[in-house]
Amino acid sequence: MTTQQASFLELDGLRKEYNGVVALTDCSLAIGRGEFITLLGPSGCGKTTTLRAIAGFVRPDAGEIRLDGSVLSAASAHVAPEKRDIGMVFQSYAVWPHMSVRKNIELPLRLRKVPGAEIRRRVDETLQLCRLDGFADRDPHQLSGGQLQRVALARALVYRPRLVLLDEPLSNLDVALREDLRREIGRLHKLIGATFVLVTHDQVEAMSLSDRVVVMRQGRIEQIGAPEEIYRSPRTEFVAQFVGAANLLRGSIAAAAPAAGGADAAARCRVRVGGLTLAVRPWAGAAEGDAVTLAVHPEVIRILPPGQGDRAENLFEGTVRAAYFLGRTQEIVVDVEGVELRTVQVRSETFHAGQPVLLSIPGDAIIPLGRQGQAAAVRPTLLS
Amino acid sequence: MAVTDNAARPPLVAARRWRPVLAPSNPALLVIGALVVGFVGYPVAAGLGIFEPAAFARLLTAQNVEPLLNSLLAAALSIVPAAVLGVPLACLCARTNLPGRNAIGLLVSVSFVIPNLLTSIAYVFLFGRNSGLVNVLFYDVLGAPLYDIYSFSGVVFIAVLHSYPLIFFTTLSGLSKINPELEEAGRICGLSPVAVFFRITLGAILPSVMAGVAFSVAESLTMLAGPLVLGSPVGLRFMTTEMYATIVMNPNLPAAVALSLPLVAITVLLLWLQARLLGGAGSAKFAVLSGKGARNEIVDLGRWRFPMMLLALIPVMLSLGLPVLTLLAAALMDQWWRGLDPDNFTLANFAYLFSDQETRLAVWNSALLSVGIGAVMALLGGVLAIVLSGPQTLGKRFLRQLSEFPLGLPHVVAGVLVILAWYGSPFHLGGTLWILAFGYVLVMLPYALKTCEAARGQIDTSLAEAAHIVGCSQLQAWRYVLMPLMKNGLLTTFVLVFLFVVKEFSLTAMVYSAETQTLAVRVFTYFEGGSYEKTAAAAILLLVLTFGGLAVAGRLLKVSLTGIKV
Repeated sequence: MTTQQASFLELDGLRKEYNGVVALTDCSLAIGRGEFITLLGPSGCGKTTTLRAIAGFVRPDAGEIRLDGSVLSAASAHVAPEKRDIGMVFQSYAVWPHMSVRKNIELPLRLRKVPGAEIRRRVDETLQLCRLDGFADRDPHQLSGGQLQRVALARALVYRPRLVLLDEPLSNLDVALREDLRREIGRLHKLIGATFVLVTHDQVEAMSLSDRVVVMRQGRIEQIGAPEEIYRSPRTEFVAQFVGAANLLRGSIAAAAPAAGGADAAARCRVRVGGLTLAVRPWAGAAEGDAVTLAVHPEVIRILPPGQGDRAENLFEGTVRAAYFLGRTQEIVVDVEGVELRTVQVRSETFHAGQPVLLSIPGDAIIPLGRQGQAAAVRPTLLS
Repeated sequence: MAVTDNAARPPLVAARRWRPVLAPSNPALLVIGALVVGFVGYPVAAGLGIFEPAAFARLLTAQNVEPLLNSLLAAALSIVPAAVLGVPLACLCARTNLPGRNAIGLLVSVSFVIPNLLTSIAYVFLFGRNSGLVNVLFYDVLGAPLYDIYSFSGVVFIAVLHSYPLIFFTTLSGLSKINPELEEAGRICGLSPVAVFFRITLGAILPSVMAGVAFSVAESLTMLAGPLVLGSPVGLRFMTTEMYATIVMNPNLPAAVALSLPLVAITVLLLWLQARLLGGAGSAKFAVLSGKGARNEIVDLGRWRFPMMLLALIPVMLSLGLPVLTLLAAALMDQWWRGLDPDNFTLANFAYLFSDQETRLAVWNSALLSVGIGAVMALLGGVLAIVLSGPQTLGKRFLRQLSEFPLGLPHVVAGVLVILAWYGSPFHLGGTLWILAFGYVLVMLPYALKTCEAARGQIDTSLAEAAHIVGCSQLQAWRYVLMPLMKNGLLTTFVLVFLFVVKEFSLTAMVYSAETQTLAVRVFTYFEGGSYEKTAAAAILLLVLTFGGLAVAGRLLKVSLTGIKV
């Protein structure tokens, strides 16, 4: 199956500038039918511009958007948003304040000249689907934020669009409601089977809902992949830090793996970072003297009770710099030979600044970055 | 599952660079643009079209310099008394415990609604040289009139009565916009409430006051009624009365256009000054009275409360109480000069008006025009506000500039322009209500646009986008979402335009014909005819129409006068 046949929504070389500032460039993406895709990134990364280009509110300066084989946006054509038959949930809900819940939800059907009885049936069905039974005759100002978001969802789903866009739908909700609605969105996606494109800056949202995550930064796509892949194999420092809040350790290879491509799971190459030498699983193309950046997720760093862990890998002695109680977990910042490591511990033991600790990092959990030419910024200094 | 990424796959189509066209083909923008160009651009072009350098050169002869100087002098002289009345009154109402301060604020608003044609006429009834009732009473004592309103000072007096509410409004809006923390910081630093007021508050509102001053100079300069009623009979010539003469007495359109230029130039300059002072284009003209400022320090007047209230009532009495009571009394009298003799009271004047064919026509014309133009402008302003929102293209910017341009057109000048544009060939609208209607559209467009834009600005863009994404075409999005959400703004526009049109005199006086008299013009023709009592009755009728309209609007549309300040 080639990608061209399978993709339902295709973005091809999209570019958009606002007054000379590039908001989006070289954005190409193929999304399969029924897929749940998340555009993830900090504000200003171009994710909202991408979404609004798909919706038709933004006309790209260059590139094409195709949905189910027909062109929505191109140099020569631009289909108006109302002609695209796409559903969208807005960040501010955008529930029309002068209409009741029912009127809000039935307007799309009235515009589509659906017969009256059918409208009633489908609105009731959608209300039930979105768990809004009993709210049909309420006015928007009588609803809470979570309920408004459900109305917005219902309005986007009632006409069964092929594609549903969600623009930071949860960002205006408080934490408890957010989790609630996140599960709701996941449930609705599975139930309806439409293609969903979500925009968010919250990596938990992205990870938990998506089939694939598109990490964006400064108007470009940084990495595309399944949530676990994005998390476990970040390709760039930005992805490692933004998605996994990883520690980034810049160092150089002290000794490459003994045999290139050796199948030995225990094979290690040694990387020197500051005063530390870390044993890391070898990767193709690693050569002695190369600069490399290692990403280490805070939760893989283990703090061991004194005297234990003689056989643990990458075992270091360090000093606690700071400890933050976060409720479920605690964040401990440890200084090891001048290298600062953030760790997350679930143990109930308390730590205090100045306390000496023993920590270990499993070599398999250390992620070398810049394996695919991404370390270009670092490499030349060493090669020259 | 289709798994691709941008690095692995070359783009299907080489990325072509292209720019959107200047104004994306937007039928609504084109239609509304054509309307604005037709109603504003075309009359202005017609005026420029007959501009003659020779006529302009004649302006600078001694004969024509006198009216210019008179107009400038009257406007300048009116400013100090207007500011002396308006600023303290606003401060008293906003920042002290003056008894009835809300009522006084409302009365100032109401007095601004009284056309200055009526105020001028009312003061003639009281202080006309020979027939003014007060002068008649004092003639026996003094052997001479107490005060002659037919004079330069009389024109200045009317200008003051018309200007002080404007300065009152801008000062009030300035006071409500001050960040209360500025004043609280003064208190923390050790200033008393009174010291805070004089050392901090007054300085902070100075730009607002000056903006009001600039606007009221423009208003005084372009006023026709006062100079026409009080100056012309004694040979005092002003710019506006000169223009009236070149249109109504001895028609000479090139001369009228030449006369317009200095008036337009000065008005535009003053409005620019006002906008500069406020840091936003023309916003003082639309200063909205919020009447809030709850957090602001209220100064306790103590035992001065009631004396101050009496003092505060003086300007309101002069601009509202006295003129309206005078007109009411005169309307109910058989003969004005006989005064308050019980035998003198009658309803015959009103009976006469209702039987008079011309007056009935004038009432009908006024009602039709004010309601009709009000509705048209609400719609036009609403659509224009919607169309002009969103990303600003060159076309939109031009359209906005053009729509706001009539702010700089004095009504007398607008009158000249609509005559040039619509009176004769090719449209031949002279003598019809259409020419008046087009004139009102011209002068009201900026106000309608501003009011509707304020309403449009409060609607989050995502509400309209949500309408489009569920399938609304542009017109459907207006119908289902934008217009209903702008309802209050549209109704406010309607009432605002209604008020303007019903009391409009300057433009109407230039353009009207026998068939198209409005009630305001009818008041003036009665006055010129010499019948004080019938003039007064017609004036009262005009006030009833004005305030009746407001009351109906308040009841039906839930729009109140306090929300509208122009």
